[in-house]
Amino acid sequence: MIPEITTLTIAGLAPRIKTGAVSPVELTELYLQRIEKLDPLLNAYITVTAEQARSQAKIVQSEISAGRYRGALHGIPVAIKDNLATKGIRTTAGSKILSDWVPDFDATVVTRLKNSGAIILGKTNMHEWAKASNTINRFFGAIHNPWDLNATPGGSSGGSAVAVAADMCLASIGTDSAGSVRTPASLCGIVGLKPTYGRISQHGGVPGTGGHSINHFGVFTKTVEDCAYVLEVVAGHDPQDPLSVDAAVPSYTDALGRRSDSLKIGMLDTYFPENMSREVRRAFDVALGTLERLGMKLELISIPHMDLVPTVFACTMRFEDIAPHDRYLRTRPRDYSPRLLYNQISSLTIPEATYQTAQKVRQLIRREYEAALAKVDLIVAPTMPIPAPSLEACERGYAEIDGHKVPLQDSRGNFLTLFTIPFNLTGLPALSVCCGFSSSGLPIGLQLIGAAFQESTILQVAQVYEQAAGWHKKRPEFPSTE
Amino acid sequence: MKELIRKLDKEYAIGLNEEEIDLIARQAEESARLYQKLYEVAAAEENSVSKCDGGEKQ
Repeated sequence: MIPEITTLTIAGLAPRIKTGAVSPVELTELYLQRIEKLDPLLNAYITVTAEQARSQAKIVQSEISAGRYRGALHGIPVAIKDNLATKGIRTTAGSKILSDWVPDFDATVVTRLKNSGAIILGKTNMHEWAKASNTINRFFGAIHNPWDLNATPGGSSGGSAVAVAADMCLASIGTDSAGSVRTPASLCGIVGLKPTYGRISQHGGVPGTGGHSINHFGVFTKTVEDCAYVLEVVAGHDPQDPLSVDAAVPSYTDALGRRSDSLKIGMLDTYFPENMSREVRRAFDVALGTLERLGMKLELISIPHMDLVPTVFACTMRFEDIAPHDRYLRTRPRDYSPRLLYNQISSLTIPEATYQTAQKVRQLIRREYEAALAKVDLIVAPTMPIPAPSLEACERGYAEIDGHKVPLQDSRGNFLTLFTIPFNLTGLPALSVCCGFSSSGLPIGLQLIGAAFQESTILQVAQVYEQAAGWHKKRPEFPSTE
Repeated sequence: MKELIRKLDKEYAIGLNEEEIDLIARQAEESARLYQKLYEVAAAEENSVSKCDGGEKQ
Protein backbone atom coordinates (compact mmCIF):
# COMPACT_ATOMS: atom_id res chain seq x y z
CA MET A 1 0.00 0.00 0.00
CA ILE A 2 1.49 3.36 -1.06
CA PRO A 3 0.60 6.41 1.05
CA GLU A 4 -0.71 9.69 -0.46
CA ILE A 5 1.80 10.78 -3.14
CA THR A 6 2.39 14.26 -1.70
CA THR A 7 3.72 12.73 1.54
CA LEU A 8 6.28 10.49 -0.17
CA THR A 9 10.02 10.97 0.27
CA ILE A 10 13.00 8.86 -0.72
CA ALA A 11 13.94 8.44 2.94
CA GLY A 12 10.45 7.22 3.79
CA LEU A 13 10.08 4.93 0.80
CA ALA A 14 13.53 3.30 0.67
CA PRO A 15 13.10 0.93 3.64
CA ARG A 16 9.61 -0.03 2.42
CA ILE A 17 10.88 -0.74 -1.09
CA LYS A 18 13.69 -2.82 0.40
CA THR A 19 11.29 -5.03 2.38
CA GLY A 20 8.84 -5.33 -0.51
CA ALA A 21 6.13 -3.34 1.27
CA VAL A 22 6.14 -0.87 -1.65
CA SER A 23 6.31 -2.10 -5.22
CA PRO A 24 8.48 -0.05 -7.64
CA VAL A 25 6.07 -1.06 -10.41
CA GLU A 26 3.08 0.44 -8.55
CA LEU A 27 5.13 3.45 -7.48
CA THR A 28 6.22 4.17 -11.05
CA GLU A 29 2.63 3.85 -12.26
CA LEU A 30 1.49 6.27 -9.57
CA TYR A 31 4.00 8.90 -10.75
CA LEU A 32 3.16 8.35 -14.42
CA GLN A 33 -0.53 8.89 -13.61
CA ARG A 34 0.37 12.04 -11.70
CA ILE A 35 2.35 13.33 -14.71
CA GLU A 36 -0.58 12.54 -16.99
CA LYS A 37 -2.91 14.48 -14.69
CA LEU A 38 -0.79 17.51 -13.84
CA ASP A 39 1.69 18.05 -16.64
CA PRO A 40 -0.91 19.54 -19.00
CA LEU A 41 -1.18 22.34 -16.40
CA LEU A 42 2.52 22.68 -15.59
CA ASN A 43 4.49 21.63 -18.70
CA ALA A 44 7.43 20.33 -16.66
CA TYR A 45 8.34 17.51 -19.04
CA ILE A 46 9.51 17.68 -22.66
CA THR A 47 9.64 13.89 -22.97
CA VAL A 48 7.97 11.32 -20.71
CA THR A 49 9.58 7.89 -21.07
CA ALA A 50 6.61 5.94 -19.74
CA GLU A 51 7.30 2.60 -21.42
CA GLN A 52 10.99 2.54 -20.57
CA ALA A 53 10.10 3.49 -16.97
CA ARG A 54 7.54 0.67 -16.71
CA SER A 55 10.06 -1.87 -18.10
CA GLN A 56 12.78 -0.62 -15.77
CA ALA A 57 10.40 -0.81 -12.79
CA LYS A 58 9.69 -4.49 -13.53
CA ILE A 59 13.42 -5.28 -13.69
CA VAL A 60 14.05 -3.38 -10.46
CA GLN A 61 11.20 -5.15 -8.72
CA SER A 62 12.51 -8.59 -9.65
CA GLU A 63 16.01 -7.63 -8.45
CA ILE A 64 14.67 -6.53 -5.08
CA SER A 65 12.48 -9.62 -4.77
CA ALA A 66 15.60 -11.71 -5.40
CA GLY A 67 17.39 -9.94 -2.53
CA ARG A 68 19.60 -7.74 -4.71
CA TYR A 69 18.70 -4.38 -3.14
CA ARG A 70 21.19 -1.72 -4.27
CA GLY A 71 20.48 1.17 -1.92
CA ALA A 72 18.21 4.12 -1.19
CA LEU A 73 17.52 5.07 -4.83
CA HIS A 74 16.61 1.54 -5.93
CA GLY A 75 13.10 1.79 -7.39
CA ILE A 76 12.87 5.58 -6.94
CA PRO A 77 11.32 7.54 -9.87
CA VAL A 78 13.47 10.48 -10.98
CA ALA A 79 13.65 13.01 -13.82
CA ILE A 80 16.53 14.50 -15.80
CA LYS A 81 16.91 18.00 -17.23
CA ASP A 82 16.85 17.93 -21.00
CA ASN A 83 20.41 19.16 -21.41
CA LEU A 84 21.90 15.94 -20.05
CA ALA A 85 22.55 13.21 -22.58
CA THR A 86 20.33 10.15 -22.25
CA LYS A 87 21.05 7.13 -24.44
CA GLY A 88 18.21 6.49 -26.86
CA ILE A 89 16.11 9.38 -25.51
CA ARG A 90 16.05 12.69 -27.32
CA THR A 91 17.91 15.49 -25.60
CA THR A 92 16.89 18.93 -26.81
CA ALA A 93 18.54 21.42 -24.41
CA GLY A 94 15.20 23.20 -24.78
CA SER A 95 16.25 24.24 -28.26
CA LYS A 96 14.89 23.92 -31.77
CA ILE A 97 18.37 23.14 -33.04
CA LEU A 98 18.67 19.92 -30.99
CA SER A 99 14.97 19.04 -31.05
CA ASP A 100 15.65 15.70 -32.79
CA TRP A 101 18.98 14.78 -31.22
CA VAL A 102 19.03 11.28 -29.73
CA PRO A 103 22.36 10.65 -27.96
CA ASP A 104 24.01 7.23 -28.09
CA PHE A 105 25.45 7.61 -24.59
CA ASP A 106 24.38 8.59 -21.09
CA ALA A 107 25.72 11.50 -19.07
CA THR A 108 27.72 10.16 -16.12
CA VAL A 109 25.04 11.26 -13.62
CA VAL A 110 22.45 9.35 -15.63
CA THR A 111 24.66 6.24 -15.62
CA ARG A 112 25.11 6.58 -11.87
CA LEU A 113 21.39 6.97 -11.28
CA LYS A 114 20.66 3.96 -13.48
CA ASN A 115 23.33 1.92 -11.65
CA SER A 116 21.71 2.85 -8.33
CA GLY A 117 18.41 1.40 -9.60
CA ALA A 118 16.60 4.74 -9.98
CA ILE A 119 13.80 4.77 -12.57
CA ILE A 120 13.92 7.58 -15.12
CA LEU A 121 10.47 9.01 -15.84
CA GLY A 122 11.56 11.49 -18.50
CA LYS A 123 13.37 14.65 -19.54
CA THR A 124 12.36 17.98 -18.06
CA ASN A 125 11.59 21.26 -19.78
CA MET A 126 14.05 24.12 -19.47
CA HIS A 127 14.91 27.55 -20.79
CA GLU A 128 16.26 27.46 -24.36
CA TRP A 129 19.92 26.41 -24.10
CA ALA A 130 19.69 27.11 -20.32
CA LYS A 131 20.19 30.77 -21.18
CA ALA A 132 17.74 32.51 -18.81
CA SER A 133 15.81 31.97 -15.64
CA ASN A 134 12.13 32.45 -16.50
CA THR A 135 11.67 29.19 -18.44
CA ILE A 136 9.38 30.71 -21.01
CA ASN A 137 10.44 28.39 -23.79
CA ARG A 138 9.46 29.47 -27.29
CA PHE A 139 9.68 25.93 -28.68
CA PHE A 140 8.41 23.74 -25.82
CA GLY A 141 6.12 26.20 -24.06
CA ALA A 142 6.31 28.03 -20.74
CA ILE A 143 6.58 26.08 -17.49
CA HIS A 144 4.12 27.07 -14.75
CA ASN A 145 4.80 27.43 -11.03
CA PRO A 146 2.84 24.85 -8.98
CA TRP A 147 2.10 27.52 -6.33
CA ASP A 148 0.60 29.92 -8.86
CA LEU A 149 0.08 28.83 -12.44
CA ASN A 150 0.53 32.43 -13.64
CA ALA A 151 3.98 32.71 -12.06
CA THR A 152 7.36 31.56 -13.35
CA PRO A 153 8.92 28.57 -11.60
CA GLY A 154 12.34 30.08 -12.33
CA GLY A 155 15.00 28.38 -14.35
CA SER A 156 16.70 27.40 -16.34
CA SER A 157 15.99 24.01 -14.70
CA GLY A 158 12.35 25.00 -14.18
CA GLY A 159 10.92 21.65 -15.28
CA SER A 160 13.17 19.70 -12.91
CA ALA A 161 12.04 21.86 -9.98
CA VAL A 162 8.34 21.75 -10.90
CA ALA A 163 8.44 17.97 -11.38
CA VAL A 164 9.63 17.57 -7.78
CA ALA A 165 7.44 20.31 -6.27
CA ALA A 166 4.29 18.91 -7.91
CA ASP A 167 5.15 15.30 -7.00
CA MET A 168 5.73 14.25 -10.59
CA CYS A 169 8.97 12.54 -9.49
CA LEU A 170 10.86 12.15 -6.20
CA ALA A 171 14.13 13.74 -7.29
CA SER A 172 15.54 15.38 -10.36
CA ILE A 173 18.83 16.57 -11.79
CA GLY A 174 19.42 20.07 -13.13
CA THR A 175 22.33 22.24 -14.17
CA ASP A 176 23.33 25.53 -12.56
CA SER A 177 25.61 28.04 -14.29
CA ALA A 178 23.95 31.15 -12.80
CA GLY A 179 21.58 29.71 -10.22
CA SER A 180 19.57 27.41 -12.48
CA VAL A 181 19.11 24.84 -9.70
CA ARG A 182 18.80 27.14 -6.70
CA THR A 183 16.58 29.74 -8.39
CA PRO A 184 13.75 27.36 -9.35
CA ALA A 185 14.16 25.44 -6.08
CA SER A 186 13.58 28.71 -4.23
CA LEU A 187 10.59 29.75 -6.35
CA CYS A 188 9.01 26.29 -6.08
CA GLY A 189 9.63 25.82 -2.32
CA ILE A 190 11.86 22.74 -2.53
CA VAL A 191 15.50 21.83 -1.87
CA GLY A 192 18.05 22.57 -4.60
CA LEU A 193 21.77 21.90 -4.20
CA LYS A 194 24.58 23.14 -6.40
CA PRO A 195 27.62 21.33 -4.99
CA THR A 196 31.24 22.43 -5.20
CA TYR A 197 32.64 22.82 -8.71
CA GLY A 198 34.03 19.42 -9.67
CA ARG A 199 32.00 17.44 -7.12
CA ILE A 200 29.60 16.05 -9.75
CA SER A 201 30.85 15.05 -13.19
CA GLN A 202 29.59 17.20 -16.03
CA HIS A 203 30.31 14.59 -18.67
CA GLY A 204 27.28 14.39 -20.93
CA GLY A 205 26.06 17.91 -20.38
CA VAL A 206 25.08 19.52 -23.67
CA PRO A 207 27.88 21.95 -24.65
CA GLY A 208 26.64 25.52 -24.87
CA THR A 209 24.30 25.26 -21.87
CA GLY A 210 26.68 26.84 -19.34
CA GLY A 211 30.20 28.27 -19.32
CA HIS A 212 32.77 25.56 -18.59
CA SER A 213 34.15 27.16 -15.43
CA ILE A 214 30.83 28.27 -13.92
CA ASN A 215 28.46 25.42 -14.74
CA HIS A 216 27.56 22.74 -12.20
CA PHE A 217 25.14 19.81 -12.11
CA GLY A 218 22.79 19.83 -9.14
CA VAL A 219 20.03 18.01 -7.30
CA PHE A 220 16.36 18.78 -6.56
CA THR A 221 14.39 17.01 -3.84
CA LYS A 222 11.53 17.73 -1.44
CA THR A 223 13.67 17.35 1.67
CA VAL A 224 17.29 17.84 2.70
CA GLU A 225 17.64 14.19 3.70
CA ASP A 226 16.54 13.10 0.21
CA CYS A 227 19.09 15.49 -1.27
CA ALA A 228 21.84 13.79 0.75
CA TYR A 229 20.76 10.39 -0.61
CA VAL A 230 20.89 11.57 -4.22
CA LEU A 231 24.19 13.43 -3.81
CA GLU A 232 25.84 10.28 -2.43
CA VAL A 233 24.96 8.52 -5.68
CA VAL A 234 25.80 11.18 -8.25
CA ALA A 235 28.93 12.76 -6.67
CA GLY A 236 32.47 11.63 -7.29
CA HIS A 237 35.37 11.69 -9.67
CA ASP A 238 34.82 10.79 -13.31
CA PRO A 239 37.78 10.22 -15.65
CA GLN A 240 35.53 11.36 -18.50
CA ASP A 241 35.29 14.84 -16.97
CA PRO A 242 38.79 16.31 -16.56
CA LEU A 243 37.34 19.05 -14.34
CA SER A 244 35.77 16.65 -11.85
CA VAL A 245 37.73 16.44 -8.63
CA ASP A 246 39.34 13.22 -7.44
CA ALA A 247 38.26 13.48 -3.80
CA ALA A 248 36.51 10.89 -1.63
CA VAL A 249 32.72 11.19 -1.39
CA PRO A 250 31.71 11.15 2.25
CA SER A 251 28.44 9.69 3.53
CA TYR A 252 26.26 12.79 3.37
CA THR A 253 23.42 11.03 5.17
CA ASP A 254 25.75 10.25 8.09
CA ALA A 255 26.33 13.99 8.51
CA LEU A 256 22.64 14.62 9.10
CA GLY A 257 21.71 14.95 12.74
CA ARG A 258 25.15 16.10 13.86
CA ARG A 259 25.12 18.92 16.42
CA SER A 260 24.94 22.34 14.80
CA ASP A 261 24.51 24.51 17.86
CA SER A 262 28.06 25.83 18.02
CA LEU A 263 28.38 26.76 14.38
CA LYS A 264 29.15 30.30 13.22
CA ILE A 265 26.94 31.63 10.44
CA GLY A 266 28.04 34.62 8.36
CA MET A 267 25.86 37.20 6.64
CA LEU A 268 27.19 39.62 4.06
CA ASP A 269 27.00 43.28 5.02
CA THR A 270 26.44 44.52 1.44
CA TYR A 271 25.00 43.38 -1.91
CA PHE A 272 22.28 41.10 -0.53
CA PRO A 273 20.68 43.58 1.94
CA GLU A 274 20.29 46.34 -0.68
CA ASN A 275 18.76 44.11 -3.32
CA MET A 276 16.19 42.03 -1.43
CA SER A 277 12.50 42.91 -1.41
CA ARG A 278 10.61 43.60 1.82
CA GLU A 279 8.88 40.21 1.77
CA VAL A 280 12.16 38.36 1.23
CA ARG A 281 13.80 40.39 3.99
CA ARG A 282 11.00 39.52 6.39
CA ALA A 283 11.29 35.77 5.67
CA PHE A 284 15.10 35.94 5.82
CA ASP A 285 15.04 37.70 9.20
CA VAL A 286 12.68 35.07 10.60
CA ALA A 287 15.01 32.33 9.26
CA LEU A 288 18.00 34.01 10.96
CA GLY A 289 16.01 34.03 14.20
CA THR A 290 15.38 30.30 13.82
CA LEU A 291 19.10 29.61 13.29
CA GLU A 292 19.88 31.64 16.42
CA ARG A 293 17.28 29.74 18.44
CA LEU A 294 18.97 26.54 17.25
CA GLY A 295 22.13 27.80 18.95
CA MET A 296 24.08 29.11 15.97
CA LYS A 297 26.01 32.36 16.21
CA LEU A 298 25.40 35.02 13.58
CA GLU A 299 28.21 37.24 12.37
CA LEU A 300 28.48 39.99 9.74
CA ILE A 301 31.17 39.42 7.10
CA SER A 302 32.55 41.52 4.24
CA ILE A 303 33.56 40.69 0.69
CA PRO A 304 35.32 43.88 -0.51
CA HIS A 305 34.84 43.29 -4.27
CA MET A 306 31.30 41.96 -4.05
CA ASP A 307 29.95 44.80 -6.22
CA LEU A 308 31.97 43.45 -9.17
CA VAL A 309 30.37 40.00 -9.07
CA PRO A 310 27.67 40.71 -11.72
CA THR A 311 30.19 42.21 -14.16
CA VAL A 312 32.75 39.44 -13.75
CA PHE A 313 30.01 36.89 -14.05
CA ALA A 314 28.44 38.40 -17.19
CA CYS A 315 31.79 38.56 -18.96
CA THR A 316 32.75 35.01 -17.95
CA MET A 317 29.44 33.45 -18.89
CA ARG A 318 29.12 35.19 -22.24
CA PHE A 319 32.72 34.57 -23.27
CA GLU A 320 32.92 30.92 -22.20
CA ASP A 321 29.62 29.77 -23.56
CA ILE A 322 29.80 31.14 -27.08
CA ALA A 323 32.33 28.72 -28.67
CA PRO A 324 30.01 25.65 -28.63
CA HIS A 325 27.45 27.71 -30.56
CA ASP A 326 29.79 28.72 -33.35
CA ARG A 327 28.68 26.07 -35.84
CA TYR A 328 24.98 26.63 -35.12
CA LEU A 329 25.41 30.38 -35.53
CA ARG A 330 26.98 29.72 -38.92
CA THR A 331 24.40 27.18 -40.07
CA ARG A 332 21.10 27.74 -38.23
CA PRO A 333 21.14 31.25 -36.73
CA ARG A 334 17.40 31.79 -37.10
CA ASP A 335 16.67 28.62 -35.13
CA TYR A 336 17.55 30.54 -31.98
CA SER A 337 14.84 32.71 -30.46
CA PRO A 338 15.61 36.31 -31.55
CA ARG A 339 16.68 37.63 -28.13
CA LEU A 340 19.07 34.74 -27.64
CA LEU A 341 20.52 35.17 -31.15
CA TYR A 342 21.24 38.84 -30.42
CA ASN A 343 22.89 37.96 -27.09
CA GLN A 344 25.04 35.35 -28.81
CA ILE A 345 26.28 37.78 -31.45
CA SER A 346 26.95 40.37 -28.76
CA SER A 347 29.04 37.75 -26.89
CA LEU A 348 31.27 37.35 -29.95
CA THR A 349 32.49 40.92 -29.45
CA ILE A 350 34.14 40.31 -26.04
CA PRO A 351 37.95 40.51 -26.36
CA GLU A 352 40.08 37.72 -24.85
CA ALA A 353 41.94 40.34 -22.77
CA THR A 354 38.69 41.39 -21.12
CA TYR A 355 37.88 37.80 -20.25
CA GLN A 356 41.35 37.26 -18.75
CA THR A 357 41.03 40.45 -16.72
CA ALA A 358 37.64 39.26 -15.45
CA GLN A 359 39.25 35.98 -14.34
CA LYS A 360 41.87 37.85 -12.33
CA VAL A 361 39.16 39.85 -10.54
CA ARG A 362 37.26 36.60 -10.05
CA GLN A 363 40.29 35.12 -8.33
CA LEU A 364 40.38 38.12 -6.00
CA ILE A 365 36.74 37.56 -5.10
CA ARG A 366 37.34 33.85 -4.56
CA ARG A 367 40.15 34.58 -2.11
CA GLU A 368 37.92 37.04 -0.25
CA TYR A 369 35.32 34.29 0.16
CA GLU A 370 37.98 31.84 1.34
CA ALA A 371 39.07 34.33 3.97
CA ALA A 372 35.47 34.88 5.09
CA LEU A 373 34.83 31.14 5.30
CA ALA A 374 37.90 30.71 7.48
CA LYS A 375 36.07 32.80 10.10
CA VAL A 376 32.59 31.25 9.82
CA ASP A 377 31.29 27.74 9.12
CA LEU A 378 28.62 28.77 6.63
CA ILE A 379 27.26 31.88 4.94
CA VAL A 380 23.52 32.46 4.61
CA ALA A 381 21.66 34.71 2.20
CA PRO A 382 18.28 34.72 0.50
CA THR A 383 18.32 32.61 -2.66
CA MET A 384 16.40 35.21 -4.65
CA PRO A 385 15.79 38.96 -4.27
CA ILE A 386 12.04 38.48 -4.80
CA PRO A 387 9.38 35.75 -4.81
CA ALA A 388 8.34 34.38 -8.22
CA PRO A 389 7.35 37.14 -10.68
CA SER A 390 4.42 36.48 -12.98
CA LEU A 391 5.05 35.01 -16.42
CA GLU A 392 3.60 38.26 -17.78
CA ALA A 393 6.19 40.31 -15.84
CA CYS A 394 8.94 38.11 -17.28
CA GLU A 395 7.62 38.70 -20.80
CA ARG A 396 7.44 42.48 -20.39
CA GLY A 397 10.85 42.56 -18.65
CA TYR A 398 10.14 44.22 -15.31
CA ALA A 399 8.42 43.43 -12.01
CA GLU A 400 6.68 45.68 -9.47
CA ILE A 401 8.68 45.34 -6.26
CA ASP A 402 7.79 47.33 -3.13
CA GLY A 403 6.10 49.96 -5.28
CA HIS A 404 8.95 50.29 -7.80
CA LYS A 405 9.32 49.00 -11.35
CA VAL A 406 12.46 46.84 -11.34
CA PRO A 407 13.94 45.64 -14.66
CA LEU A 408 14.47 41.88 -14.60
CA GLN A 409 17.39 42.28 -17.00
CA ASP A 410 19.84 45.19 -17.17
CA SER A 411 23.45 45.77 -18.15
CA ARG A 412 24.58 43.93 -14.99
CA GLY A 413 22.67 40.86 -16.15
CA ASN A 414 19.71 38.98 -14.73
CA PHE A 415 18.13 40.46 -11.59
CA LEU A 416 16.70 37.07 -10.60
CA THR A 417 20.14 35.45 -10.38
CA LEU A 418 21.89 38.28 -8.54
CA PHE A 419 22.05 36.23 -5.31
CA THR A 420 23.12 32.94 -6.85
CA ILE A 421 25.89 33.94 -9.31
CA PRO A 422 28.53 34.67 -6.61
CA PHE A 423 28.71 30.92 -5.98
CA ASN A 424 29.01 30.01 -9.64
CA LEU A 425 32.01 32.32 -9.83
CA THR A 426 33.58 30.97 -6.65
CA GLY A 427 32.54 27.34 -7.23
CA LEU A 428 31.42 27.14 -3.60
CA PRO A 429 28.64 24.72 -2.67
CA ALA A 430 25.23 26.33 -2.07
CA LEU A 431 21.81 24.94 -1.22
CA SER A 432 18.37 26.52 -1.26
CA VAL A 433 15.75 25.47 1.29
CA CYS A 434 12.28 26.96 1.74
CA CYS A 435 12.16 29.65 4.45
CA GLY A 436 8.60 30.89 4.14
CA PHE A 437 5.94 32.25 1.82
CA SER A 438 5.00 35.66 0.48
CA SER A 439 1.65 37.29 1.24
CA SER A 440 0.40 35.87 -2.06
CA GLY A 441 1.47 32.35 -1.13
CA LEU A 442 4.69 32.08 -3.12
CA PRO A 443 7.72 30.29 -1.65
CA ILE A 444 10.89 32.11 -0.54
CA GLY A 445 14.27 30.38 -0.34
CA LEU A 446 17.16 30.53 2.11
CA GLN A 447 20.60 29.90 0.64
CA LEU A 448 23.33 28.18 2.68
CA ILE A 449 26.86 28.44 1.33
CA GLY A 450 29.91 26.54 2.57
CA ALA A 451 33.62 26.26 1.94
CA ALA A 452 34.68 24.05 -0.97
CA PHE A 453 33.59 20.43 -0.48
CA GLN A 454 31.71 21.22 2.73
CA GLU A 455 28.40 19.86 1.41
CA SER A 456 28.08 17.78 4.60
CA THR A 457 27.97 20.89 6.79
CA ILE A 458 25.47 22.58 4.49
CA LEU A 459 23.18 19.54 4.50
CA GLN A 460 23.51 19.18 8.27
CA VAL A 461 22.47 22.78 8.98
CA ALA A 462 19.84 22.84 6.24
CA GLN A 463 18.15 19.79 7.72
CA VAL A 464 18.18 21.16 11.27
CA TYR A 465 16.67 24.39 9.93
CA GLU A 466 14.12 22.55 7.73
CA GLN A 467 12.89 20.43 10.63
CA ALA A 468 12.62 23.45 12.94
CA ALA A 469 10.87 25.66 10.39
CA GLY A 470 8.60 22.98 8.92
CA TRP A 471 7.93 24.73 5.59
CA HIS A 472 8.65 21.52 3.66
CA LYS A 473 5.34 20.09 4.90
CA LYS A 474 3.35 22.70 2.97
CA ARG A 475 2.36 21.40 -0.47
CA PRO A 476 0.89 23.17 -3.50
CA GLU A 477 -2.76 22.49 -4.37
CA PHE A 478 -4.10 22.16 -7.89
CA PRO A 479 -7.43 22.85 -9.49
CA SER A 480 -9.37 19.69 -10.24
CA THR A 481 -8.44 18.28 -13.64
CA GLU A 482 -11.17 15.60 -13.62
CA MET B 1 30.65 48.57 -32.72
CA LYS B 2 28.14 48.63 -35.58
CA GLU B 3 30.95 47.87 -38.02
CA LEU B 4 32.04 44.89 -35.93
CA ILE B 5 28.49 43.54 -35.86
CA ARG B 6 28.22 43.99 -39.65
CA LYS B 7 31.49 42.10 -40.05
CA LEU B 8 30.24 39.27 -37.83
CA ASP B 9 26.95 39.21 -39.70
CA LYS B 10 28.82 38.79 -42.96
CA GLU B 11 31.23 36.18 -41.57
CA TYR B 12 28.44 34.08 -40.05
CA ALA B 13 26.03 34.71 -42.96
CA ILE B 14 23.19 35.51 -40.57
CA GLY B 15 21.42 38.19 -42.59
CA LEU B 16 20.71 40.71 -39.84
CA ASN B 17 18.65 43.77 -40.76
CA GLU B 18 19.67 47.32 -39.77
CA GLU B 19 17.33 47.37 -36.78
CA GLU B 20 18.90 44.16 -35.44
CA ILE B 21 22.44 45.42 -36.05
CA ASP B 22 21.58 48.57 -34.16
CA LEU B 23 20.12 46.69 -31.23
CA ILE B 24 23.03 44.25 -30.92
CA ALA B 25 25.60 47.05 -31.25
CA ARG B 26 23.92 49.02 -28.44
CA GLN B 27 23.87 45.92 -26.26
CA ALA B 28 27.53 45.12 -26.96
CA GLU B 29 28.59 48.73 -26.32
CA GLU B 30 26.78 48.76 -23.00
CA SER B 31 28.51 45.53 -21.96
CA ALA B 32 31.92 46.81 -23.10
CA ARG B 33 31.43 49.96 -20.96
CA LEU B 34 30.57 47.77 -18.00
CA TYR B 35 33.63 45.57 -18.47
CA GLN B 36 35.92 48.61 -18.52
CA LYS B 37 35.71 48.90 -14.74
CA LEU B 38 37.35 45.47 -14.42
CA TYR B 39 40.58 47.05 -15.71
CA GLU B 40 40.49 49.52 -12.81
CA VAL B 41 40.81 46.75 -10.20
CA ALA B 42 44.29 46.04 -8.86
CA ALA B 43 44.27 42.38 -9.84
CA ALA B 44 47.26 42.18 -12.18
CA GLU B 45 49.09 39.80 -9.84
CA GLU B 46 46.16 37.41 -9.63
CA ASN B 47 46.12 34.12 -11.51
CA SER B 48 43.46 33.90 -14.17
CA VAL B 49 42.86 30.15 -13.73
CA SER B 50 40.48 28.83 -11.05
CA LYS B 51 40.39 25.45 -9.35
CA CYS B 52 38.64 24.13 -6.25
CA ASP B 53 40.88 22.04 -4.00
CA GLY B 54 39.57 18.54 -3.34
CA GLY B 55 38.84 16.82 -0.08
CA GLU B 56 36.81 17.37 3.04
CA LYS B 57 38.01 20.00 5.52
CA GLN B 58 38.95 18.18 8.73
